[in-house]
Amino acid sequence: MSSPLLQVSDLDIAFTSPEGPLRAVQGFSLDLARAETVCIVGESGCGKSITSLAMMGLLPKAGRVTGGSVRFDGTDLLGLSPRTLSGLRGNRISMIFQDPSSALNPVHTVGRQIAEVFMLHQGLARRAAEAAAVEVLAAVGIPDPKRRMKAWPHELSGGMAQRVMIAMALACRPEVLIADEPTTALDVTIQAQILDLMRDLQKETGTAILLITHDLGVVAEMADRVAVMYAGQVVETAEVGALFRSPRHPYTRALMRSVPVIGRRTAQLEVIEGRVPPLERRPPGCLFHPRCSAYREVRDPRCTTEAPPLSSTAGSSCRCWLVDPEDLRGPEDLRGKETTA
Amino acid sequence: MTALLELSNVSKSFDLRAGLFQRVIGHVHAVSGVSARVERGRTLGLVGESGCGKSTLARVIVGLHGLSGGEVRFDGQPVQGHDRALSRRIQFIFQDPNASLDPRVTVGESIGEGLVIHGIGDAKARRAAVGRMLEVVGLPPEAADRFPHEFSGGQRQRIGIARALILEPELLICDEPTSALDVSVQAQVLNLLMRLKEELGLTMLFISHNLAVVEHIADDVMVMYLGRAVEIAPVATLFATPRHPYTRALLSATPVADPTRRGQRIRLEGDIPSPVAPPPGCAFHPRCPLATEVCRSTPPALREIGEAQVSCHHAEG
Repeated sequence: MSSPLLQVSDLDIAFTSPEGPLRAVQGFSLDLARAETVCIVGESGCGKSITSLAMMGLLPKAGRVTGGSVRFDGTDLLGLSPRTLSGLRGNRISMIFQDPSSALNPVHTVGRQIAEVFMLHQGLARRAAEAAAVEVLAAVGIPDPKRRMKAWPHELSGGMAQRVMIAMALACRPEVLIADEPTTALDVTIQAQILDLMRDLQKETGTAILLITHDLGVVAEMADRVAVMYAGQVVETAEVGALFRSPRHPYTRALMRSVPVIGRRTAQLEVIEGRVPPLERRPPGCLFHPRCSAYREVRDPRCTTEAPPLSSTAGSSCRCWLVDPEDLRGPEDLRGKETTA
Repeated sequence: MTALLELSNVSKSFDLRAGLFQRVIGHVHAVSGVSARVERGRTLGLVGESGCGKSTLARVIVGLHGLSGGEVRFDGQPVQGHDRALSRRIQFIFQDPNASLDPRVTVGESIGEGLVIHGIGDAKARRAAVGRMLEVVGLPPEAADRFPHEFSGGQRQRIGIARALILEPELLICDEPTSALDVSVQAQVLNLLMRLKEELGLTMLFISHNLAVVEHIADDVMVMYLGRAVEIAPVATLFATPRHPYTRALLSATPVADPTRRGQRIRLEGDIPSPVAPPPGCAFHPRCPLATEVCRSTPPALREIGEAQVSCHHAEG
């Protein structure tokens, strides 16, 4: 097997605080191959966005990478000078964010902003860059792209602005696209258009997509593989079919049973008691144990004292003392009631 | 039997003003000719994308916005503007629990505020009522003396529910009550609303853009597009056999948390048109895969097909 295009190993991210450094993300590892879509899923505060920012060298001031590496096509991104890294960003690696209106510059026309990408990263002259910009606008399905070049960001609807963002992100045919909740602010029919667009472009260009989302529906639609995060750690990774068929980590199981699914109306949704522990009050042992129904049943002392390792077998991994890594389905007493009727 | 809430041909438009003298240059047609009824004890889900008029409709019902046309009847009586007696019988829960709680007032005072406004009970009785309400929504009695910032988003939404229910309203209007919450917390709030609906026999108008949530909680569903009701049907019927092309597109566009059901979606072209200048004929026709000449010229009426009411020239039984 060829080595992955993007390889994140043991990434640690800490924030400075008056009480000393707080560990926001611990030991995050992930591989992304060409033409593959990997989803990072988790609830707010699980560290999914901060992880993607760290990979691109875009952490806010208080944040710092304290360990690990991010290798892109053989080079460690974290060792690069800000200048070299910024040359890669927007060129070979691109990002799109949840709120397109805040990522577009309000005082420049849409056309100028896209053309700039070509001028900066590919050294095209203005005329050629503008022609290329019209082409990418057409490629993302914007009607009448020539006229839209002259539009200002405030004249665009949310879906239109997100298309422009995608057009900019894809302008240089990046090898990796990191999309952080790209459709969360959009209506569902527009979301469907944007997801289709990302998929079509991936088919054409072989771009690897890292998609960050809280929406299990979007995960099921888009992912080849999934990493589930909780409180700054990856707790489970699996191929998408396997994850939805037989989630192993108690958090993943609970998360899946807590969302209403069309066509499976139930009297009660599963509730995960309590809340994600804040950074300064992370519990000892397994970070999920205070909310874990499996722990409440079994009361394994390791759950409260020792941090479980991420153990892997055959393409999946799981961070739980109570799941036997040899047993893909997980122990009998943990299986619980299946969600499927 | 009369319905608790009955809407006949309800319309609401807002003036669009511009220029030095703020002259009226047009109208935003937020709600156009919506008719619906909600029987006691039932929950009507209201779905649609942004700008479809679902929140405006809710505000018209409680009299927060005046009507531009049509009639709203609550318990047989026409609703005209905001009136106090009515505000006790119809209560609201909003999307953002933070915005509806005063940060400087204890949770107990917030919950009991409605009782004070309507002059119900003395201080002691009110305090007891607040305690009972906290129990109903699953919060400890000590919560009454604490402040909103000490609670998580899900708990604050419970406080919002307690505040709405303390007046024992006959109709509860929930406007995107779980949209700002994480999924595990959303489950807590949905379970609570389901339980309250059972135990108290609540009548609800439940507004959401999330079809899965609406399927979970509603008895009947009304789908809105650009200010109009395009389809009204019992929940099982609507999800099993959606008849309006917009309903079908909406259902098909909703990602389902099941990778085996990944498949070809109905792709809707284009954006939702502006409610200032809605398209002539059927408002959905520019995006509709079935649109023909008649759709471009004649607005379809809501007609009955089986258990459903559908406003489409091409819908069949």
